Amino acid sequence: MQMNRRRFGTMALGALAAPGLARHAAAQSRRGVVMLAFPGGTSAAWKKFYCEPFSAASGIPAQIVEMTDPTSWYMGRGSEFNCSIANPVDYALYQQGKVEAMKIADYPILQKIPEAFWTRVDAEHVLGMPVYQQVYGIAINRNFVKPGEITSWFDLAKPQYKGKVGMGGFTDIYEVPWFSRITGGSETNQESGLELYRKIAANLLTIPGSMAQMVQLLQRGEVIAAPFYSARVWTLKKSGQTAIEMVIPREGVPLIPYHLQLSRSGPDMDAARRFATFSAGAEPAARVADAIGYFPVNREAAFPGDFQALMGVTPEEWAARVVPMDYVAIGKTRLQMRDRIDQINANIGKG
Amino acid sequence: MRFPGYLNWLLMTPLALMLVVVLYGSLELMAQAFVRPDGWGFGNFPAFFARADYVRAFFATHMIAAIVTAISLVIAWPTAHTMARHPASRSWLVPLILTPLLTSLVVRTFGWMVVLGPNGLVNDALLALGIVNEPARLLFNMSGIVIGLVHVFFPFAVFSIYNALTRIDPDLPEAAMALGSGPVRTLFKVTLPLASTGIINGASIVYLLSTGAIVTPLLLGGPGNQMLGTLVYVTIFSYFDFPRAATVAIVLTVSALAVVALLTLADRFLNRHMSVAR
Repeated sequence: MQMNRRRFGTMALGALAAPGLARHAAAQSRRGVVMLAFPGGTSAAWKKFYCEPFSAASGIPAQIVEMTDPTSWYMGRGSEFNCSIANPVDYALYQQGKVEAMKIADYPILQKIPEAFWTRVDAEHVLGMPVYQQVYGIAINRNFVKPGEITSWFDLAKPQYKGKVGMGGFTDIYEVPWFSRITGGSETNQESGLELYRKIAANLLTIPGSMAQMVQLLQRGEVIAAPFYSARVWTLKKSGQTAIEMVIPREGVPLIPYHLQLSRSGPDMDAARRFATFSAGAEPAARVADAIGYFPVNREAAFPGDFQALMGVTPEEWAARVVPMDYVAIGKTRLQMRDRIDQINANIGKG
Repeated sequence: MRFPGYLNWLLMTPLALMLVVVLYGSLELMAQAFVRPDGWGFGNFPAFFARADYVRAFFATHMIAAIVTAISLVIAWPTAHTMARHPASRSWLVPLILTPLLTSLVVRTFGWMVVLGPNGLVNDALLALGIVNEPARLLFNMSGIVIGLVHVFFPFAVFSIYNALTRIDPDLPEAAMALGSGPVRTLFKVTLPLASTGIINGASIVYLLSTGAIVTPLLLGGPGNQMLGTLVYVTIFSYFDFPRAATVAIVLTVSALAVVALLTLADRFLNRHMSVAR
């Protein structure tokens, strides 16, 4: 074939357009479960404990796509996925028509899950399939904090901890709404929570940029106490470290339930719906709990045998201290609260 | 060797691909910055400058970038000078400068926490020597960001200056010395002016990279040390607010390019007024 400039130009344009066309075609023809999940432990656990057994049992392929923040992906793009792991605070995604509500009658397995873990959209629908839970307690480094020294969330504001406290990156979802609950406010009135946050923020060393950094700071004792995820503490203790422990303060701890949410416009939604039912089963829940510390919501699933040894309380004592939160209400005002928290943070250390 | 015409076009394909991606991304970004809740408009920019914490982040970004650039140049000059004038030193200086670049940025940044953290090596030494009574705050503030960014970016200044120094005819400084100019006078009247383009190029690279830094400020800065790069990151991943993030990104890009344009003008000015020396 004789190559001239025009022919070459046509071929080059075709080559440039080909990846986009191929990607579009692939997305349209995708079959099976294509799930968005946080990278790292969560993604690995979903592959091992949910996707592989589901595919083996059903013959439906199931794959995980890792995304640092699945919610921002949903917000920014139309869905190329048919489900994702999420926190109920993502209610806004449902309001924006990006997530499909699940009809309770279509999912009998929901009857095995206490309603405390459901996020109702209306009388007949829930936002997603509850799959597991963790709590947000206070992680301490016991080489620097004596037993019984920190027993309340208010202790984090004590002057003796100046420059030694850490804080998570989602203060608008967890810390401030929870501080509001323990100071007489609520998820819809968070002024008192902001006030307690401001006091604790005066003790901050930093707000770590990632969970890995928080773990490093806690392990090294740079941060000696911080509101933190129970699943992370569980994983650390499972791996053999002994310095970091989880304190369940006397005011209790906020429950963080997770659910598998379905995209409204993803490919092969039937596969995703079957996967949702599978994900709420007792067997994968027990295995995930043992491996990465996300505890079961299905009544038939057992808590890990070494739960008391690692977390210091029995599952029953744990359940008694856990407080369900209204994440839908939190989700409705979280961006405004985040703005206010960021402005508080901007003034930390500036008198 | 002369290639047939179409082969030259073929060689341009990667460039064309890059241009398409960059142009598409830039246009998409610019369009996003004008999206308002009620349609389209310029309102995102006044809203940016109406927020005290954003304005503070704007000035902090440029102040940190300026400090990082200045410190990098001060460290880079003697390093590059040594490499240019004593070629044998390159065998150990180049690996010394480049080896840290082979490590992940996140790992290097975490390393600084082990060295400079409240329980780190430096504070342990300061406490042991009785210089301080309690750990000095070397991280999670502006100094932490500056230290981290200088470590990451100063090699770019070194190689830019080194490249300029190797182009200087060694006879010129020697001639100046032979004519009675002392080492300091030779440095300021001959070597520095001749290397000015390399210095300014290095400064531009370090400045641009510093203004857009995300990982280092996130990991080594404190909650009150927001920079524009981290602001873009947080605005997308915490607020999911793409128009606001695009606005911050444009403010960042335009202001950083303005500084680089000034540096370029300074370079042209120096070139024009030192043409005799060249």
